[in-house]
Amino acid sequence: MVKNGYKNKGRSIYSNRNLWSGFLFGISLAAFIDETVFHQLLRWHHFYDKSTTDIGLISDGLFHAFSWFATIGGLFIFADLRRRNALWITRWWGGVLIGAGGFQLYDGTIQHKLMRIHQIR
Amino acid sequence: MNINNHIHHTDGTHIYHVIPQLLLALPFLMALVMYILAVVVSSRRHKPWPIYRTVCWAFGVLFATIAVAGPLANRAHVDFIAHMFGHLFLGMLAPLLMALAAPMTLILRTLSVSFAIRLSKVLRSWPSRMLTNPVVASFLNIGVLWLLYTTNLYSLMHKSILLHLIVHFHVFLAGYLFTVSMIYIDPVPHRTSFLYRAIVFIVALAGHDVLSKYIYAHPPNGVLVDQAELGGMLMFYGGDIIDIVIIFILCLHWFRATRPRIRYPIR
Repeated sequence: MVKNGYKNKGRSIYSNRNLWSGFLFGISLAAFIDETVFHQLLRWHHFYDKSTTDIGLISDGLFHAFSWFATIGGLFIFADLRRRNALWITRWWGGVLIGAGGFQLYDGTIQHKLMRIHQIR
Repeated sequence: MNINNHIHHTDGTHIYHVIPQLLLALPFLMALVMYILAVVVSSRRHKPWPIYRTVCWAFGVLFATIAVAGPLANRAHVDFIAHMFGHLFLGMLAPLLMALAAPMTLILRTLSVSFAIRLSKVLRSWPSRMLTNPVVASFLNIGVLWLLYTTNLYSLMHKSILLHLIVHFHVFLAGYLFTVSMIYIDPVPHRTSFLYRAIVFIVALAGHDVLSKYIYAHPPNGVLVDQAELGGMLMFYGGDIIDIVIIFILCLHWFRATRPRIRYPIR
């Protein structure tokens, strides 16, 4: 009884942290796929092209730096949840999907179309 | 006469290269000798100094020296890609390795108690507090890089020896300050929170990324377009690789600092 109650207690205390950890990791996962598969392997994307606006360059830099940090930070928070027995895996995966989807939405519409960072082949 | 002139000319440029290179490399080589002396002396009185720290320091000195003297430094005058390798070594890799070597801890345990107290007073003073603030260190590091690559400073640096020396020392010192303001290997009297450091770090890394793409698009004065493109990409990805180590250490320190104090039952 106490043990079962304890399991849910850990989850409810850290329920936001589960979501945030997944969210950060989801952003970084999408960014990682974007960088390795689309930039390096398929070469659909470019390092820079002349249509890029200044605000696009700044946004791209900030986003790249953030997702680089989020990869490691998100996984350390995941490890933190595990050692507290507070991991809520479905909530965490939900966060991953939101993060990855949010990345695609921001990258595809705002960065590439509005801010005109490199046009895709 | 022609041949004489030619010899004189190469000799002249040779000396022009050698003296600043010696001046730049000497402090690093002295730092290596002093570090090893301090390790030997302090290990007699205290427990042995970890070998990996000495190795880190030696490799840090090695990369810094490669950047300021020898073939890479010679090529850096004419080749922007060589210059960028030098920049990554001197401004990022060497500072990181040397910060991991915990030189301040070593000095404090080597000095006599009264000297160590005086030194720790200096470390706690307001100028030291200001310089090791993440925001100030980031401006000194990334802000001055923007100055270097977007103004005439880059081409002037190759004409004036004094400017050459100042810029190179600055790049190393600012890189070191930046590293120690982000990850606390040595004792730090005035710490800032993990979240604060993480946010400043992300902005600084973004500044570095934007600058490397800016260099790709707008070559600094006197740099060829294809060299600027390769150099910019090298700066972008090389910077990422070194910064990922700093991010990992910063997150690891957070992970250790926030470990739960209550013992939870195992599920």
